[in-house]
Amino acid sequence: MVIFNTSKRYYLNGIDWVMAALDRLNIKQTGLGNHSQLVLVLKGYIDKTKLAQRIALILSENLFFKGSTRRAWHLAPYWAPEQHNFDPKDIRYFNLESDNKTNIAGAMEENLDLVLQKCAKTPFQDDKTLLGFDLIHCNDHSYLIMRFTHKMFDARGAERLLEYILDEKSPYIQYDLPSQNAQLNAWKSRFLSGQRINRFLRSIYSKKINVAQTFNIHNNNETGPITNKLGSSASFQADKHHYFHYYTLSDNQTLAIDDNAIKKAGYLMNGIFILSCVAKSFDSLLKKKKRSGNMLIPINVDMRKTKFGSEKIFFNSVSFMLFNVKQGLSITDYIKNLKTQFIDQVKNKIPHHFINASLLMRIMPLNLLSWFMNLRMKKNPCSFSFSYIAEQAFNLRSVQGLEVKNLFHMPLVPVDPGIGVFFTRFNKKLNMVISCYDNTLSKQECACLQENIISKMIPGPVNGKI
Amino acid sequence: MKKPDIKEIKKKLTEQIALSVGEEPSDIKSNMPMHELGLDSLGLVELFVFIEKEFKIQLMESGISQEDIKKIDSLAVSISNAINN
Repeated sequence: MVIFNTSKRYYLNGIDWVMAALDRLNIKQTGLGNHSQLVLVLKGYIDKTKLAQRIALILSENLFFKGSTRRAWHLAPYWAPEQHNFDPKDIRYFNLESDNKTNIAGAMEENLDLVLQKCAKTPFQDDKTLLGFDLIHCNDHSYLIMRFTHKMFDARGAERLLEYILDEKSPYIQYDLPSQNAQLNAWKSRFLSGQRINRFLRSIYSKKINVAQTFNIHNNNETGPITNKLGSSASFQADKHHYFHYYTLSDNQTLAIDDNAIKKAGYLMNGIFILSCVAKSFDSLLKKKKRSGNMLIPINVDMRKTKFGSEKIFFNSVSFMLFNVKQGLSITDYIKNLKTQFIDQVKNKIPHHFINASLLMRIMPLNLLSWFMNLRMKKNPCSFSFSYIAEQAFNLRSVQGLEVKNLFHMPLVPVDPGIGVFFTRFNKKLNMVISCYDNTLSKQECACLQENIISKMIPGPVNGKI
Repeated sequence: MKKPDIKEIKKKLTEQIALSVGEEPSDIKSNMPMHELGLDSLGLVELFVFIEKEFKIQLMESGISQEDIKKIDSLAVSISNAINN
């Protein structure tokens, strides 16, 4: 076993601190943190013992698995990793094949969906744990699940981590956690960025915002309070009230979307095109609910270079953009409007200012920051979250000789806005996931929303094949 | 001030794209489509912002076509035309 010097300080950036506060807020409100899961689909049944040994080896010999946030004497928060011998038994195994020998394929898929949803809503062992693993064998496929907290990993970082864990071909190298600077300098520039962001937020929230939520999640007392590891009481069980709708588009469907995106939004504007289709679909939905006002859409932006090394696995390398659009526009007008806002925000370096200004937030203790964020999100609500990751960071073609068929994400969405539509691409296929609480949309409404979005992205004959 | 020639424009574009996608400039081929080089929408708009600042032209308002922005070669020609007009 390798003995690590865990006293080295790995300072957190502002976004890490915001994510940690969001995690705390989510745990308080729902019992579950701000986490997500990757689902890696392999053709055939992977050897679970060999897989568990591999995961245990990597996690025991590296500092990925456990840690906590602390503060230095100058108040800059840092990550304190803990060495931990990962027990292969901590990987849960579900064999849906044996449970369903007499059942038809439809029932098996239904079971698979239930298990995937259940896994996504499993809390971590404790507040220090960053990762969780599950394996499902079903219908001649393996579904390897890696749950991860956004406290330390963003979506692409997690994809890269999974590749690092599973890649048996590359020479075994001890992973060095990247050390970030404390960034306790350039205060003037941080304050100026804060000023820019405040002005930007004031302008974006100048109109009434329409939200999908039908009641305040905190007033829902259907379920009894639950206690989590932080010792706080939550009046809401995300496990029962949160669900996912996920869909993988075929190669042809993805190609049709790409063609439409070029024709309607322009070269490399797939994200804007897809967002426009989602906004139009929400517009119809909110109209049905007789709501009025503009839609406010926060978007995660990955700030890494397209190709990045394993040194960028750890810590959050994301920023944000916010779009405010009117209801009742045509798709063409949504595209035009969103594209203009996108270009303006890139020109005005809004994602950069979010990162720079967020460093100031580190002065607040996590409890205070999560309280402040809750207040802010209640006062300035969003309609739905959105993200589109065009470039995959997991590039293995096979694991233990089994072909990698797909990789998709199932992120829990924060209580506010309570609904998010997320797109990732994997091997030329587009994956779409709607993640929501049942105080935003019913399961039927969610299924309709999914169909509606797809029909807007691929109007015409291809759509008929879904 | 001396106006940059196409070779110089290509060099600057290559360096900027390399920075954006995390590759060495020598690995960037000027006849490859931008998406194959790994550029995304954010990278493309950042490239436009760089072009406007570096070459003092209003590229987005110059009526540049989609075909022109697909490759470094064609983009460099458009920039050169915009500078000289």
